[in-house]
Amino acid sequence: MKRYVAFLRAINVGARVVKMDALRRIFEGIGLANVKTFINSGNVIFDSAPTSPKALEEKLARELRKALGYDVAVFIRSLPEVTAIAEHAPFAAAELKQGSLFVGMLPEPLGASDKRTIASLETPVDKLRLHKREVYWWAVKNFREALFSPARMEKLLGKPATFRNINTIRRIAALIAKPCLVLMLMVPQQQMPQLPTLQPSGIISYRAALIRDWTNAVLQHAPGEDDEALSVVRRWSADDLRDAWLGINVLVALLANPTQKVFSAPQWGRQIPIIITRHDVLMLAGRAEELRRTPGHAAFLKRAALLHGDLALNFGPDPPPAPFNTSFLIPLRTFVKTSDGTQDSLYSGDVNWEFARILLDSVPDVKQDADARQWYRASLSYMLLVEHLDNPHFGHALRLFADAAEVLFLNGCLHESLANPRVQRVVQEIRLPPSTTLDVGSESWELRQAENLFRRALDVNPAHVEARLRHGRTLARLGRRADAASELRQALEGASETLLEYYSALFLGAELEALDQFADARSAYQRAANLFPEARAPRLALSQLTHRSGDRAAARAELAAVLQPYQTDLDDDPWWTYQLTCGRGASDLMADVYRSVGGASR
Amino acid sequence: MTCRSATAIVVALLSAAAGSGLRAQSPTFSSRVEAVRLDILVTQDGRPLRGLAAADFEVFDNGVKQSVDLVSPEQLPLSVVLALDVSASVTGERLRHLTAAGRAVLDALKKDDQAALITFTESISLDADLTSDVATVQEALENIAPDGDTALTDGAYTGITVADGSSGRGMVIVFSDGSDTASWLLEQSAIEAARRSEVVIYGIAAGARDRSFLRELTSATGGRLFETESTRNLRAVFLAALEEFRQRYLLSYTPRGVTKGGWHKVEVKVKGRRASVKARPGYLAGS
Repeated sequence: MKRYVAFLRAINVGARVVKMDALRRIFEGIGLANVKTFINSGNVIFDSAPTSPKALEEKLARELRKALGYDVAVFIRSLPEVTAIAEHAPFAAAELKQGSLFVGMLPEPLGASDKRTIASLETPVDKLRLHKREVYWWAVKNFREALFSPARMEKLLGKPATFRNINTIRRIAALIAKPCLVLMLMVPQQQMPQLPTLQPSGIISYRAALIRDWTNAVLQHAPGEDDEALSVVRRWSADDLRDAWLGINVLVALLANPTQKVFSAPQWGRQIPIIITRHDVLMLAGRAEELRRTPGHAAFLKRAALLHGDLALNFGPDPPPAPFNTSFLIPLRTFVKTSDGTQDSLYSGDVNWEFARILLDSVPDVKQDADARQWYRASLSYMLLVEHLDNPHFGHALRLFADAAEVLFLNGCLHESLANPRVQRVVQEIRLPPSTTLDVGSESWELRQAENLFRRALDVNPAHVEARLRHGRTLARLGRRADAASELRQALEGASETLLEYYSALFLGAELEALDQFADARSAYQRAANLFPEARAPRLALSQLTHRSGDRAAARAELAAVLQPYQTDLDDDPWWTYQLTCGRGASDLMADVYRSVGGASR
Repeated sequence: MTCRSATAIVVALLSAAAGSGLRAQSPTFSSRVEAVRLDILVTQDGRPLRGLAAADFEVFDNGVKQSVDLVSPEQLPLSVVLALDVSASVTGERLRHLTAAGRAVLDALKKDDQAALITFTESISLDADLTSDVATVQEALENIAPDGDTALTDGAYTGITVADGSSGRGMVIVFSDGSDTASWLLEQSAIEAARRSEVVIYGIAAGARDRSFLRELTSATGGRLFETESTRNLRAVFLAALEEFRQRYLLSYTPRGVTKGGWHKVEVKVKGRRASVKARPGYLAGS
């Protein structure tokens, strides 16, 4: 079964009201499984046996017409496609500091004539970019002041389309790709699985074949692409990975030192010897010599790390391996997947992260390597974006790059996330296997860590607005109101990005209210509400402030504007994704690494 | 976000809530008179005690005895707001139990009673505003689609705000199967809003370990928290909450001999009986 998302056009817009339950039944009625809707603007996630998405789109459109009595265009995207849409960056992050980004789904990639039509629809306040079957629409000022009309675009193209806010796409991508908040589980040493005995020989030629396939895959892989090279490694079984891993360790050692004769591999925090025949060492030494010449020692290791990083980031096996996988030698980390504060399942971390880390760490003088630093920034951002809170990965990056403001900042974001009620609730509610604990501190401990890291990031780079914002927010949660207000005021003054301005204003409003500066608090909340008119949080804040003044009727009126069920596709409240937004630069950062490291032509 | 200090005004205007018959019966409830309304539950040996008259009650406002009137519950229709957690954990059997429980409450309402439906995930939605057309609320209830996180505090605050604007006796049933993970508002904000309001909150917590917020919220209004491990008996629990609410007495008085502003501690006693009284512990009044 494969996971898909169907984006339906014009559902719950105007008079076209559709119950989500009825929608689910239509999908289930044609044999689709695990059907789930996401908000009520017509986003349906489901499992299906591998099939032609085009045929499925047509079938669903027929069923929807039969059930609803009108035409509903259906746009199906697979899990990797949704992830790719969420991460595609058609505009530079610096440009997107203003306005809002929307994604329009089209039935097929556009031809040259249609591309010209799209280009002609650009206005001074609307920028459009095409990529695959999507049109990316950046409303430069904001949605309300936009001149571009999706309906006019559809008319000119003669094709239907449906638009979503990029944050909606990102949330769907996070929901389906890494569906839940993922926390690391601490497993005591005595509960580690019994390790298998290493084979001294006999399968060595098989390992050599794997190494040949692996090195070819590294050299042929176009970073960021789900290509055949990636598929070679993705198809490997756990046993294949184990055998390859031993050979890779030997190869990496020989890349660094062609005369090395004794080899080992890291296993559960220690080094274990690798027993290998002289013949195989010579064979691997020959391969290492070739790689040292082309593409070079460091370049090869970086490209190898990118291959495994890509598997871990986007294109890894589904489902992930079961917990406590005894057939593997690498110290797999065990995670708890949670949903809405409750435990969902246990599983082992993606081994490709381990491969990527160890390969990258073998790059000569790695602490001074800009690509390595950028890859860690990108991977930390990604983990925050999908809420895969792999604490040791963050700690490892911090040990390597202790003076990098961004690495300090992202580590601060990790601890801020761990102090979040969503995580803390899991800590309270979860029932874990005996003797295991979550790698999460108390709320106050995590907040203190976050505060310290944000402060250190600001020491390195005082102009880091987002670090200032989050430092202020953390101080507020620690009860240091006046300090928090000062930081948040500075963040608000420095914020050139709409999103950061919104958060700064919203959080500053709360601190001013706590300091009994009610008029200023109201102004700050109002500023946030003006930036995102659909957002609930500032309206709740304003309503509550009015309620405090005793005017309960006015308090209700303040809320009324945002209490209606969704009427458009373009709803959003950045408050809901506050914890994720610190990872929003992941795709740009990874694109930088891809460009810098290079690889097979894309 | 922060704790909020208590500075606000709340003075109830019963005239706005009552029908003309009520005004004829009790002239002190003119629109110019600031009155305090107390929705109280009296029990003896664990059972609601019925048949009491105004003369059976003693009400002390900041220690000063007040002269109270008893409003016949029949004279004021109910305004029942269902504020329901429909986050991702409320799926399958839980959802069926929840909708059945909501349906049972709606079915049990009388002709002039009103109902509203608020659902909350990380967002809040007023799926059906207060109306005596219960079928509208019923339809909205059947359309629930669980998803996302739990903004319990935001949902409870919204329930209070919607119920507080009603013309009837406001009751909010807040259901959640977990703890808050997504609210903007602080718990203390919702609790203080509850103190400022005249609604009675019944909390229904299914499964969650931390129920302190709902306990404090319900206590602030003289309501009650029902705790249940499973959702299997949710229908009976919802109906029990409604039935208990119907058993309450509605007292009102115009404060005499006390200062106008600030927190007023209210104490209600039943003369000559070993009865237990559940009422909001006080109210916030302002200038």
